[in-house]
Amino acid sequence: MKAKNMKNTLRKLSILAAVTVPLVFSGCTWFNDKPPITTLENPTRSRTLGDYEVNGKVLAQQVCATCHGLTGQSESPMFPKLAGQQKDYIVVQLKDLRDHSRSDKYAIVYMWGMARALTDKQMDELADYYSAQTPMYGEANHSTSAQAQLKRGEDIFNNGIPTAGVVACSGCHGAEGAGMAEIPRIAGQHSDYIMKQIHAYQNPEDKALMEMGGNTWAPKMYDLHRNLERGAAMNAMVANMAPEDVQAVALYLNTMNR
Amino acid sequence: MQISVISLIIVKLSTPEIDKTMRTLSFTETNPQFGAAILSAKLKWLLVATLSAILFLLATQQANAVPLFARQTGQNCLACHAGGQYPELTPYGRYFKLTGYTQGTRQDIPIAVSFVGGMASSPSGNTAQSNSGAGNSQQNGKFEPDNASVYVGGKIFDNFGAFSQWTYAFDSQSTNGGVNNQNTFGADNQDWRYADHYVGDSSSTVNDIIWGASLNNAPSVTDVWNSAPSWMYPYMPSSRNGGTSGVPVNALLGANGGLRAPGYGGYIYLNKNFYAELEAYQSGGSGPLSWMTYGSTNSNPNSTPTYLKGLNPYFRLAYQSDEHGPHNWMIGALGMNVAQYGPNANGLAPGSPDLSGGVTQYQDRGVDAQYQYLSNPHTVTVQARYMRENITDNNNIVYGNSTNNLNSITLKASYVYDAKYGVGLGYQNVSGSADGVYGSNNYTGATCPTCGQNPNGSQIGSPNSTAWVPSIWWQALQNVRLGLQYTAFTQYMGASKNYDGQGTNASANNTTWLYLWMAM
Repeated sequence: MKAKNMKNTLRKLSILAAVTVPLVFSGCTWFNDKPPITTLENPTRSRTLGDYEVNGKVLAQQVCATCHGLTGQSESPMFPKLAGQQKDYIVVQLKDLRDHSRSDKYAIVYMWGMARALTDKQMDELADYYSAQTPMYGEANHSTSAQAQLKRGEDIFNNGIPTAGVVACSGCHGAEGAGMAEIPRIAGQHSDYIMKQIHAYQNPEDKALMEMGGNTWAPKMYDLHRNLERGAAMNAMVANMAPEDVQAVALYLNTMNR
Repeated sequence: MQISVISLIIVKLSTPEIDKTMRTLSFTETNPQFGAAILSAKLKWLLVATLSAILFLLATQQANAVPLFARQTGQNCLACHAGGQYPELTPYGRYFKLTGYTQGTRQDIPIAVSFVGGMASSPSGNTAQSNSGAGNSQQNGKFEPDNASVYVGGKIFDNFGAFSQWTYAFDSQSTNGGVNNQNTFGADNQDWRYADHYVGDSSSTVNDIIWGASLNNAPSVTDVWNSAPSWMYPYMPSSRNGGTSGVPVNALLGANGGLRAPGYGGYIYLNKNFYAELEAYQSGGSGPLSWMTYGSTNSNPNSTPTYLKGLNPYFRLAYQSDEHGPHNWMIGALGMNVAQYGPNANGLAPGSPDLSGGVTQYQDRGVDAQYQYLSNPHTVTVQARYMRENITDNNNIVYGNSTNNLNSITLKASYVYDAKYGVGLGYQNVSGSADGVYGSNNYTGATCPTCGQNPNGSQIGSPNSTAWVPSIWWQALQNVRLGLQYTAFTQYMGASKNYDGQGTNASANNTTWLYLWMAM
């Protein structure tokens, strides 16, 4: 009998817990929507996004580094290298990601969420952190079959493709591909990333039915493009670039600065 | 302060309603037949009310309406799940879990829900044989809801978060029985953890340390690699058709849900390369941690608690490679020692534990590996695990022999294009010493009132089984998946032909599983 009472009590408590715990979790922020009560036990090692107290450098180390690398030299070709990237470029990109004016597919998938709650100050600090790293370096490509491609890439980088209206990359990005202010460093960048960006510049009318972040059951047509205003020059310059030329220049850029 | 005031109000508001339900629950114990109707009406009401409340709350959160972790980071599921094939984790997903689900913005409503339904079908269930109600062929040829989960947790504090899954298994319309937490909510995967992450100067020898502690409810549920038993393919089996999970016999550390019991321990991850974890598991039947196995009770015919002697250690070691371009790989070892009490009733029937009858001891040791190629839109992943289990049962609590062993090999490879179209192939092989227990129906879950003592067990008392599990799937959206999976048994309980002495071939257990998975 006693065991049964005990069991009933336990069962009551479990149900109570199952009902109240989520409600309490929701309740404690529901009524204090913005700004949130700080829960930072160690702001020097926080992974919290949306809290102005966390320094951009901390976010770089605790959050961004997971994909972009601690020094910005990302390994995965899915995520651009940020090491030594131009500070102004990082800042404007983060702002474009935050206000959704940059909306190429993987920017939506990976970066809209990350940038949504960053403050201007945090963006500035993040940009300071990554721009101060040893500049990104590329990988050697010793495959003999790639040599002709690399040569073609180098030619495009230095001289453009006059017949297709493609001007030399080095004209804006610099002879070393280091970029300047809002023009990004591209020397040493992942070629896969470069190709995806050129694709976005070439197809600013692309659309895709997709969901964004955890916003499920709200699929909609997203316009896939880089910031149209800032990217207008690039849109025009790469419009008539053949796919093999895109690949050639992307491969070449990846072998720069190594 | 604010938290406690609000919780007090909620407790006060909820208590009368819960009391009423509890009275109904107690009532059913003495008047099972009459009570069952009220109980089921009450539970349905509760379920509907809860779901409506959740849906309402989610609907009012238009800007960030769903799966909990995706809402928290604002990223698509693809960021953490390799090619969107849940629950497979990318390097980033592993980091997210190891740092205690704390990355991102804490959610106002930390809830997500998922649903699985479909049709599982096996030839053995279609025959006119008296064994047509085999455990692996319940729900034969009918579209039915299978299970629904509620997830709570995510980021709770700066260093504390949870993956807390509660699953409701829908009643089988074809055949009753055999489903854990059937028609009720039960504790599914639970992983509540505290974690911290130190980042040092990149030139130092040790420049990155993640450490943490976890309270969880199954060995390897804490794991971040998908070669671990709790998280390995097939990922979305039917809860009431064993064939959709693969081979009928597994080591305790051989499959998801092999052992469900409260556990706690700690882990450390150095330089994002070296991982070590130590946990201890204990009985789940009662005590302050019994909520972690909620749904299992001595009187639940579908799920009795696991009663363990003392603390049962589980260890996990792994070496995770750095990423090399799109490639990364891991090799690891894991193991566990378990001393488990038997039930008072014979066999695996429900009942309170026999705490004076000695224990069955299991010693599991395994090695595993994983390889991933991740470069949008292509995802290729491969997992492998070998597990050796030595069993000592001097009191013959479960087994006829005093010592037995079981070896299992589990493999899987898959390719996903653009996180939309996927194809996977799994292979499972179990072999071990013959024992009388495999001659009974405990492992196949068969119910065969008319065919004597040995229904659907192994004629030669052997656990040896082999299954191939191919599947294809389509994800129109990241939270909706349509999948078709097939399980082909080339060997089942010791033989490919007539394994049970009653003319049943291994292939009679082959299973087709057409399912729909949704989450929000």
